[in-house]
Amino acid sequence: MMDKRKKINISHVITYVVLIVAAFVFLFPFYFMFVSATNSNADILSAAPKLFFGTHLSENLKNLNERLDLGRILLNSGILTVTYTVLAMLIHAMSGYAMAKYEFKGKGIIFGIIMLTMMIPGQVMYVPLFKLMNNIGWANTYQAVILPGLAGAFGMFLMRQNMLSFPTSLIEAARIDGYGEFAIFIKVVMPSMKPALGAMGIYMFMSMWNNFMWPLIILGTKSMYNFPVALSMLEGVAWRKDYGVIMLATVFAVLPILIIFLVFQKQFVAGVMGGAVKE
Amino acid sequence: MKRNLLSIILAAAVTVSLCACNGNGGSSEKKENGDGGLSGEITVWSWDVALAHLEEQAEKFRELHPDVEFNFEEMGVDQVYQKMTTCLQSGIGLPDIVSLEGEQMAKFGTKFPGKFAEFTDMINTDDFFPIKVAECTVDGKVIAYPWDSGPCGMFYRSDLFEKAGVKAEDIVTWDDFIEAGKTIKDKTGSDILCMAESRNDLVYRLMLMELGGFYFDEEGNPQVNSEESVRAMEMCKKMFDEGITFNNSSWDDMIAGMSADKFACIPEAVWMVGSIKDAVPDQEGKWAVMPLPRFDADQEPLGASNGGSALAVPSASENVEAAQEFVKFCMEDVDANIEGFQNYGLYPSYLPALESEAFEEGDEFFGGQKIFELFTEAGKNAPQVNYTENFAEALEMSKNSVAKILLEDEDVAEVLDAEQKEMEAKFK
Repeated sequence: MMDKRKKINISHVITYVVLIVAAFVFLFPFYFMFVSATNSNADILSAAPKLFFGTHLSENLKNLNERLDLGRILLNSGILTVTYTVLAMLIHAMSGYAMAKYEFKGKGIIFGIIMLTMMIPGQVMYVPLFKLMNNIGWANTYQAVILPGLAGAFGMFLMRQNMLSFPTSLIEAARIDGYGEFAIFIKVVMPSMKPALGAMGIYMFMSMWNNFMWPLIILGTKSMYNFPVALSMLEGVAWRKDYGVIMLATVFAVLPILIIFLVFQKQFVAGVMGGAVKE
Repeated sequence: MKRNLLSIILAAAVTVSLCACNGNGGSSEKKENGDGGLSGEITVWSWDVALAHLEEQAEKFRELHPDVEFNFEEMGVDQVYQKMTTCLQSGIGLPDIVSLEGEQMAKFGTKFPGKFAEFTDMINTDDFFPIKVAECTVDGKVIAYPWDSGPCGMFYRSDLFEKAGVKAEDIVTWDDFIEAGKTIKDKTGSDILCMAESRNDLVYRLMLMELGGFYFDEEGNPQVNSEESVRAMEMCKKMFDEGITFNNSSWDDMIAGMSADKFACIPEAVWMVGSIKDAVPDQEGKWAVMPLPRFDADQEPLGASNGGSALAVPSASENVEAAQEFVKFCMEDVDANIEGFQNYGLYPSYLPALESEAFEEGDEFFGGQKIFELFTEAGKNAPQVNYTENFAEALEMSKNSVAKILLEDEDVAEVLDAEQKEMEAKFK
């Protein structure tokens, strides 16, 4: 042991120095966000901004509460994100499974068409979607935000790639043992898809939690806003921004994602790698 | 779709009948109250203080018209535009009242003709700053009410001026300004002017207005290689080359520079008063305002303007009449204008309000100087420029030209000629 310790070679030192610098670069904005949430606007904007926790937290919280109904926004964002994530994971897993393990007529063409939808930029769909949602009376509702993005080519493709490596013989064995198709999917295939599902879940969670443009357009009243839209409201006009309040709101917006990521970190990394290697 | 069309037709019909019965501008809101009065639900999209001000005025309006209900939706400036664009394109989901930046009004009015209710017969345009009326007029029709305005002056640090032995009264022309700048740099180390090198083209644009020019002529054709434009740009370059300017690459940069005494002057609109007070409260008494320097000592002073908003009513609204009455109520009431100014720093465009006592008082932060007379004068004299639908794009091109000339040291006339060609090709 002692020997090994002494043999710290120069390349290790360099590696660690680089990593520490990189970690600092990535972590500093987070740190500054937390610190600024406790400082006043003047402290943040002074020529040498305050880099330590201040005493303005309660004042910022009070101001924030005056401008936003935090509880309501958390609830909105929560409902939107959880519903969307659960449903989207199920739909993508099912469609990915079908594309990977079933043979049917026109499969190649259907797959191609689904993949082609990735080439349509989301922005061009806003106006027709907006009209559609208004015509069926869904403007300013949760489902108007959740439904349009529920089935997407990316999620389907990710699941398909992961499912391809699942041994078909295992599915056939289950069939012979008398399992129905749905039971096979849920009980045999899904358990081994945990890493991929974890990765996709995080991805879906983040994309819905951060969803801005479409909710902004379709949600009409303050009581329905999710976090990003509410945050953009705080921004106000350039010459009257209170960064302390904005940073505090940002902390609330970032925390859930941070927690989810820390909890599911392993699955996330494993899942992204999962589709890369085919055995 | 059909219902949609129908509602537009209905709204148009209401507008026409409204215009017909409201022939003589000065009609007071109390009159309508007597016979049935206004009713309906009015949704307002606005931002920040503007929204807060409208909310307060709505309370008063409801005392006269209790049947009118209000919904206020707060959003950021960009969000209003994003939502408006989608809603105008589809014709649904529009608010009854929306605040827009005056400079953007022409764009919305031109791109979506007929989608905004007309105020032509309601408003007495002589009561407002000419430049604000110009912002709200598209194709000869007034499609929005001018709200707050942005007449510009030169904010300066009286303490730094004093330290350097420079007197603001002696600065008449931009050349005087440059001389003063050299002295200030020598004596205090501060730059005299806060001028962005690439983030915006404000100094150039204000100079251009002072010379009676703009990106566009009256017909909306680009004219950025005009004599005035070249002259303004050359003056910017001259100041930059003297090394007496402070570059602000962002708004926050400027605020930070302000508190660190990096520069002595900011040419900006009157709404900057509030920003300075917020940003550097400890510099109370160290600020003052002078008119923007001129190009020639014997030139008639022309004002310049930057920013300020307008209040519009989309014609798809189901309550156009009530919405328009409310807009007029807020915009043409002296007290409402004074409250907006005193509580929220919204500098009126409405001349009768500007003539009231509230605007004659000195401001302690500015050493007791009566700063508002100066701004009102600048607002009255600002030329009626044509912002056109292309203002936002032209602004981007103009910023690029500023950066090329200042940072890459390219020839002024050549860059502006190239910009002119680009604009002509793009804005056909």
